[in-house]
Amino acid sequence: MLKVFFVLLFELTTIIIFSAILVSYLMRWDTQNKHSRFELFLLCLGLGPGVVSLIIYYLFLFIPQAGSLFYFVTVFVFFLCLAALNWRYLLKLNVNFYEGLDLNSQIDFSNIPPFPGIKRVTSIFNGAKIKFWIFLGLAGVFIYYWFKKVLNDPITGHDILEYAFQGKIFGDGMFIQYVKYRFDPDSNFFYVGLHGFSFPLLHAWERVVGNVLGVSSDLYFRSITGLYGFFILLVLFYFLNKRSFLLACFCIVLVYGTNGFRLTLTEYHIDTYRIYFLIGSFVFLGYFLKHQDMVSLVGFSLFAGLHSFSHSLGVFVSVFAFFSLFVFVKANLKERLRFALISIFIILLTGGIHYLLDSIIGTGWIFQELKYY
Amino acid sequence: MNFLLRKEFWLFVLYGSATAALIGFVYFLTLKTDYNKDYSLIYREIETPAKMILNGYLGQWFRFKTQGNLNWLVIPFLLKFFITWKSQENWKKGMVVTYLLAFCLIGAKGFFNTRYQITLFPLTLFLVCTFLWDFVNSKTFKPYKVLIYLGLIGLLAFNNFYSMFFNRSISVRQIKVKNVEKSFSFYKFSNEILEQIEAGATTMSEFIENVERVVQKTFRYIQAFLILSRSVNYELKWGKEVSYPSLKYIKENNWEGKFLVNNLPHFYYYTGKKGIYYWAGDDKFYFEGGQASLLTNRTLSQTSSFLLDSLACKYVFSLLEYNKYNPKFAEFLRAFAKPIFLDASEFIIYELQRDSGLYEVQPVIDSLKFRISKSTPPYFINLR
Repeated sequence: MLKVFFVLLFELTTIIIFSAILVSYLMRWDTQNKHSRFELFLLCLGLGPGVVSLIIYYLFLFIPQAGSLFYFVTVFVFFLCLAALNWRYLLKLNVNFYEGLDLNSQIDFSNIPPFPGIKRVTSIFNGAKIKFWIFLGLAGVFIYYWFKKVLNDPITGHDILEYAFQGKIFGDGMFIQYVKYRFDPDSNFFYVGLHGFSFPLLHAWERVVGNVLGVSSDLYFRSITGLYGFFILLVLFYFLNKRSFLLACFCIVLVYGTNGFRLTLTEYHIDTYRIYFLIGSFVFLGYFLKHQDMVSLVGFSLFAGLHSFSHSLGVFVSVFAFFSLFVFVKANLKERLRFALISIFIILLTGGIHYLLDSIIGTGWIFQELKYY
Repeated sequence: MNFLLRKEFWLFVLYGSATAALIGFVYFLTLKTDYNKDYSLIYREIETPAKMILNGYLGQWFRFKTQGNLNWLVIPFLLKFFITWKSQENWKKGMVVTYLLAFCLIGAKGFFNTRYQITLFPLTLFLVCTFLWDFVNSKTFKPYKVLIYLGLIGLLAFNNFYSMFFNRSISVRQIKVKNVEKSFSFYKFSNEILEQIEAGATTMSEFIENVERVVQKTFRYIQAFLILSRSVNYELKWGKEVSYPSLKYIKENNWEGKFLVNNLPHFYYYTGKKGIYYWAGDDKFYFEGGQASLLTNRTLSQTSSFLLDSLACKYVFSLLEYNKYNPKFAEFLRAFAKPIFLDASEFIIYELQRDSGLYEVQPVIDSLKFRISKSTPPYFINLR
């Protein structure tokens, strides 16, 4: 059991490090210093698993059944090479959450509404740096609950089990083929999902790592919902904290208090994973329309591609976002076309290609009748 | 008391009252349940035209039960944004247009699924929070900040209260289990005990009272109101409360034939056995060459023979809930499938039979609902 737990920690740590390595490249390309380093890191915390699933996808597609060790080593070597080529920027990365989230200052009570007796209450905190403790309390509730759930509750939901089993098929078979009917002859399982493979491939990666390290578990796959839920909360908190710390806390309480999203955070499912990429693509789209810089364009396209790769809905939302990018960017037609081509290329590379292949030589994807289960 | 003389105050009162009335009206429209409609629509709470619009197409803003009741507050701010469109910055225009396009797409194609509707929730909440914050901090409404804040908190509190209250009626069974004992085990109610429980119960509260009275007297713990085979004499095997006793039961036993699996990937993930993937809702089973109908163009007897002889399928693994999606499938099970295992989560294993019989396994609560709903349907809103 202890070994399984350590493997989970290893997996979680490595994907955060992978994310950091990817962020260091965005920093490198940010030659005009338009972006805060901490903000880039925070926004891209969840890139690691998405990109790992993408690498595994291409490996299973082009170099099938090469053995778990091969895939394991290839992914690590890939990121090690990326890190080695950009180590200067990697070292400059700001991962200081205390400063980055502005938790080291006093709460500004000057702009809150004049509730009766509020001044008496706020005067108690004058001079006290309690932001960190309030934040820790809010985040701690979630983290505690989530770890307790991941370690105790097996996967039970219908959809997540579909993904998990398809991931198991990918991980054990170590190949991806485009076929009209996604049928597994060993179990007679029929994958009815029409979405990209990013999410199932997270479990495939877990099985690859498990095979190499000698454990069999789905803890990492279970932890994804909470992990990405936490990333969403962090991003929300970060941007609202720019206006007011109390507003940011209020928003987090609202999220906890809303049934649907609380369930989204607390039940194993793909939702937080795809919503995280949606939020990332929106943020970078906003920055791109504002600054017209390459980092924002690459960031937007990367997130939009991974959003597509995680879910069919992501394809359509990314198309709309791409439309806005083309229409609302302040540039001449030639520049717009250049931006559009770069963006399309990255979106295709980071997941869009799956849908092209699936439409042409696979299940038919968009040409199928959509069904609700 | 000078503020009572100010026009702005009364405008705010009017605005607040209109908001409260609108929220109340949305709740009113979305509370009614029409049991005569398609079960899958009832399950998703979009069976009436009003619910289809509010919970379905506009569910991202108005499905208060899951989305909270603050999201729709983004509407006035979006309207204001479009009124002042020309003075807005380009990047803001782009973001709002993208948001609305995504909203329309999810409304049109994802109205069926609350999970799709939650997609834009963090962004909507962010917009509502920032817009409201700026609004409250603007000079126009400065004297009434307190009221606005209290109003907001009131909205949230009301919604949570609403959700807690109505969720209770959805999961009466679970609530009873939690209230009485943490330990979980299953009991088979004899017909005599069932009759005692049902006797005189015309409302849900009376039913629960009867359960408590009769069952606590008879057993140490109350347990789910499941069970019973009224017409067939066979033995049901009850598992203890582990995650899925039925899956453990399948995994740990040898089976002579394949399972027809009614849309339950649990079977594949946890048992390692071979199944035939089927979904009763569409009456489709899946195989290497695609999909085909099981019951369409076949009589119940022919279906049984087809499963046993052509597909070498001797068992069915399903969920009581899922059986309801297809009345013909439920009828087939009643006639040709003998239940052999049922667990607390209502997963059920059947053994297929060549000869028809009457194999009834149903939650007691359903039979009661049926009986009572003829006279007092409102007591059973949301009770599935």
